[in-house]
Amino acid sequence: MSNRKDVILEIRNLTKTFPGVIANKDVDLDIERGEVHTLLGENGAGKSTLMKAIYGIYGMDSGTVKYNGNPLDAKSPKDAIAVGLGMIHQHFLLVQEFTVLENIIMGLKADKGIHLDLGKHRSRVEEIVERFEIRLDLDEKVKNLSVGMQQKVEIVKVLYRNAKFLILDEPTSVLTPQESQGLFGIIERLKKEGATVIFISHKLDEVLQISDRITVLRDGEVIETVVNKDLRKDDLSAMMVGREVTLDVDMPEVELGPDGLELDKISLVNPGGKTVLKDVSFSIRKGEILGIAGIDGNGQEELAQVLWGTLKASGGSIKLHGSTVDDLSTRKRMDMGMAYIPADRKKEGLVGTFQVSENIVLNSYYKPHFIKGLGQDFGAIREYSERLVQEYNVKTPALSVWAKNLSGGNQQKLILSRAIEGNNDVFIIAQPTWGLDIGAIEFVYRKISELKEAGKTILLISTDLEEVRSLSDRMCVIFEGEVSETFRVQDKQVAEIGLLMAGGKRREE
Amino acid sequence: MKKKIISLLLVAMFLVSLVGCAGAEEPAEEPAVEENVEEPAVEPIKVGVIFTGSIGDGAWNESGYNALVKAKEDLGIEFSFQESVPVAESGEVMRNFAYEGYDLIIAHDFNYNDIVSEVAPEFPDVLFTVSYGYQSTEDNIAAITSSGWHASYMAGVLAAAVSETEIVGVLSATDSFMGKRMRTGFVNGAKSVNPDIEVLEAFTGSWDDVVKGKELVNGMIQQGIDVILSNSGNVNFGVIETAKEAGIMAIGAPSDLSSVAPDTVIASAVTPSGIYVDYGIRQLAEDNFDGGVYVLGIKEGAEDLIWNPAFEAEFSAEVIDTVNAAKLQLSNGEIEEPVVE
Amino acid sequence: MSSFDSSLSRRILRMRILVTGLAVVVAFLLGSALVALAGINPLTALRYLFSGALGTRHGIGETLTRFIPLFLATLSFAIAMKVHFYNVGIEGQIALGSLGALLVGVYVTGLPAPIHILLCLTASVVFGILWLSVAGFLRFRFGANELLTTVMLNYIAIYLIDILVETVLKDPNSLINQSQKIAATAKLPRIMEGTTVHLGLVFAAIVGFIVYYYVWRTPGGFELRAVGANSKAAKYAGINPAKLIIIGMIISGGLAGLGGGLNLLGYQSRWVSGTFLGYGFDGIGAAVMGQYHPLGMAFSALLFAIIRVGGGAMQRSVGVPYPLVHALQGIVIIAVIISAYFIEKRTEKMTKGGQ
Ligand SMILES: Nc1ncnc2c1ncn2[C@@H]1O[C@H](COP(=O)(O)OP(=O)(O)OP(=O)(O)O)[C@@H](O)[C@H]1O
Ligand SMILES: [Mg+2]
Repeated sequence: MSNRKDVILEIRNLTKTFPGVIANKDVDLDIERGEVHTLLGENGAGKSTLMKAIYGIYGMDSGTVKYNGNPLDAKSPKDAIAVGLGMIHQHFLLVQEFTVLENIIMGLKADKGIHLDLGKHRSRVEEIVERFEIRLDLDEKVKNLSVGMQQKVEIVKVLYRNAKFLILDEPTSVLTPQESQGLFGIIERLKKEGATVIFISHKLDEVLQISDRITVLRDGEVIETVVNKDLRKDDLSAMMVGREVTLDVDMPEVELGPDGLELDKISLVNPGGKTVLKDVSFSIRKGEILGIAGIDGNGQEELAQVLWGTLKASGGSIKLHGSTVDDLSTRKRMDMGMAYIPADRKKEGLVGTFQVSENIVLNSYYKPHFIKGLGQDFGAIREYSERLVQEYNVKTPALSVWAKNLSGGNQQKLILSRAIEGNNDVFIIAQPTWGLDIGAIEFVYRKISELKEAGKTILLISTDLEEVRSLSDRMCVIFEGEVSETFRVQDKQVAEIGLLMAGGKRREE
Repeated sequence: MKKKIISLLLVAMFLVSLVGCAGAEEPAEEPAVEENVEEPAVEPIKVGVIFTGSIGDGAWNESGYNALVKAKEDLGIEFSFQESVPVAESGEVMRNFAYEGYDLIIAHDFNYNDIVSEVAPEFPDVLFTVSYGYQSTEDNIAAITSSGWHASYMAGVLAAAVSETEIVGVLSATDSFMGKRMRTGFVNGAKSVNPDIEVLEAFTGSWDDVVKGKELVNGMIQQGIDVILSNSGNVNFGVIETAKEAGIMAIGAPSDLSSVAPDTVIASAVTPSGIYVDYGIRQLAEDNFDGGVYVLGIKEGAEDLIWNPAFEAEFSAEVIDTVNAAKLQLSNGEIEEPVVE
Repeated sequence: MSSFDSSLSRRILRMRILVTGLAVVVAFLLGSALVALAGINPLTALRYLFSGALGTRHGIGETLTRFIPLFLATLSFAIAMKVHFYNVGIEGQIALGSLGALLVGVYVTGLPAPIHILLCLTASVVFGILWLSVAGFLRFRFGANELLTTVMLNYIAIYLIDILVETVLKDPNSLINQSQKIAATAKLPRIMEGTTVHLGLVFAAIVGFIVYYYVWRTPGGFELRAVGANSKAAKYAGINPAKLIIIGMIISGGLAGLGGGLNLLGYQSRWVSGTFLGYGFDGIGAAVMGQYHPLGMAFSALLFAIIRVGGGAMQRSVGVPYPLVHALQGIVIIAVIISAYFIEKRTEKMTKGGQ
């Protein structure tokens, strides 16, 4: 057994603390050459921190790392890149206005003087793209690429710097299933070329599909490493959470009330003159969940914004509890009981440099119960935040920590908590489980079902078809700004819905 | 990212302002108050001076500063100074000098006059002079000023003496009392030589409007002038240029402008500022300082006509004599002050 | 939980004070080197700098008098900074604020003193706001960068007030170009015997506290900070970013105008043509040094006032050339701006975490 073990990365006793938290505790981990090794763990378990410590983004408190048998003490990512590591973050670091090729060679040393030999680089990049069978138009501007394509650019960028060891932190959380499969194809190619990959994901199917070995982290410690053989999803969740988790939600039967939210021919033309939404009409009754499935970028974001009042529709009308809200500000809609859980939590849901407690009251700081005299009632805010943090299991060392320092999943939990606890009754929920661990997803589903049970009106927007199907009463599909007829979930086959998502209906006509 | 750019910009801005300052730096001067080596019999007179600008300005302030250095050599005074003191804040600087035990405080600009009037009563034992000042409200204030017309009178004499067209011109920057007095002095001087001479007068309304100055003088040239006195700040340079192009003679003011156009500027009607500094110090040194307004003129060296040496050699003895005679008359107080309405 | 809170924030605070202090020390060392190059003993010069500004009653008075408009300038800059409006036009707003106070102080008469003073100060606040709104208008209407417009407006303001003082506002009884003095009822009373310190100091302290309270303790301040920190998220939280930016601008302009008004009513009493106060420019540096916090800025404004007053003493006593005094201030500002950059990085490091 030990004879075929060829350890490329060896981590010993790595400890990394933040003020108030031990993010990694005495971590021992061996990564073998040529394997795909998955890190699995709940939100805040310390996966990202461990990778960043190795990669030189954070210093570690103690411990040693060896790469190819040599000590690796990366003071900055530059050191890590120099020995052949490459890390792809969840948030891409691409220049939108540059072309793919420009982005790939950006930051490289000039060949002579300040001159970059574009032709030479192009042919080398082309070689890589070919070898790994990555389909990319090198001259397209990054801003015109889908998220999945952008990720490929990031990968090529790393490969072009001769990375032999790739770290992918939640690369699939924003990808469609098809895009994810494309990514796995690339990973397989990489493996064939002898590269080693560390993969982080909360999607257990994927983990089972792609991993050679899996290491589970909990509360910063390594629980165990297993070989991916004869494993089931349940095994994984049990290892992670310490109990079995099922995502089969039992949605309660609820007596539906009157329409809570009605859309009548909502359309939107963006400043560039492009039609982004076209005659979107549907209504949702109290106690009902309407799901909108569709591939990211088909107008979901804009639809949510129009409903929320941060974008003004070019035409059509919206009714909340039966009264028109077209001319009302976001704040007025909030006061009428509307709540929104945006997809992009970092940019839209949180003020990163505000404290956790400030973010918890981001939508309610002005309400009478948080006001004392002319100022804010900090006591009441603290009490309220403490309650939410506890109830929703938001892992944070203190209420005063900046929100941007929470782990991704915990940021999402924070946003959910403030929307759900805000005494609202119409919910627009976009991508509620992006980046959440399985336990947290289960929790969110339960919360959503509780909302339904309480007779709330819920619009669920998700790119995860499974999610839409298992949560919604009725659903529809959005494609290029147009919404299909709504139908009851059980009335259509997955394949049929998939066709709709790819615009199949249209093509038929 | 944006923040970084902003802070860089700010740094750049301050660097620029720094460089600007460094550019204005004057010739380094030695520390003002030195420990005296030998025990002087009497405490030296301590003089504090306030300047509106830099002592390296090559003009008003520098000549005041040079007078200070000279007074130190000649009279053994001690002095120190503060530059670039805005009028609005000058009161505090005066008070500081007074608290620090200075005997004489020289406010080297007439704009300080009102503030001196305010501060002086607080320090009856301290003496104040205002260079080019206009009022003395206390016994311890001497406002030292100049006639404002002696130099232009002599310029008028010279102009009339050398004019062949019997038409001459005078240009001032403003039409204020001082501007008018300067011009009338010129007119009177010219008429004293040639009662039939025609004198054209004009003012630009600005010290910097070179274009307007050129236009005005061009108009005068059309009417036949062959000598022009210009006392209007930066406009002078435009005037002299125009004169040079038209081939007529120019007289500069208030400092020596011969070097600007050695073939055109025949002389300059100057009002050196050192005398204002010097005068008060001397009075104090001779122990006869009295409050009041002192009007200085040719006699005291507060005004003068300086030849461009090239022309002085060229002009006939008659011209030179006429000018010198006028100078004598002015010194003796034989010329009546011009009347300005 | 809370013990962690306070220990971390205390450590960050200590780091900030330390780094800033270090920057000031380095700046003074550099300044001293320059002084030494000019052939003057820097220790003596520094001694005079501090004794001139703090060693005598009169010196202290002068320093505190200068402190008033400087401190308001820092508040003005900091508030606008919170919403990312780079108000480098404080100098002009101070000038206009002075003009407002001057007009009401001179030409409105027959009022009881407190009312007259309040009226003057109101005018100065309004004038300051109006002047800043020119830049605001240009930004919102045409997208003109306020860094450029406000700088230009500085020069226009000073030019404008000079022209007025030389023409319609000129004191007919004066030979020089200056306005009349404000009426006795508009004068802010002196509060320290034998010095120029005036009631404006109390105003400044109160305003400083109000600004602190507003920004850090009220819902309005919450919105202001939220917009500054992430305007998109603020918008999604129902806050109108444009409105908050305008509010920030209004407060900024008002504070600058008030600084000019207080200085005029309490100290200058009139406007003399050619006056360049420079508090607006210095205030920017002092605001950076004070890390945009009222308390920090109180300290830095005081330091800048000391340099101003002590700089004069340095020249009078040992003949340090005026440009050098000016340079010293510039060096302090640069050092502090550079240190602010380090502080930001360091703070980031001390608080950052995983994703
Ligand atoms: N600066 C910080 N201050 C306090 N706690 C921090 C800081 N940075 C990270 N943490 C905490 O460290 C722990 C590990 O975070 P990390 O981002 O590594 O989690 P993760 O396993 O990547 O989670 P997720 O699946 O949600 O991305 C979390 O509890 C997080 O809140
Ligand atoms: Mg993570």
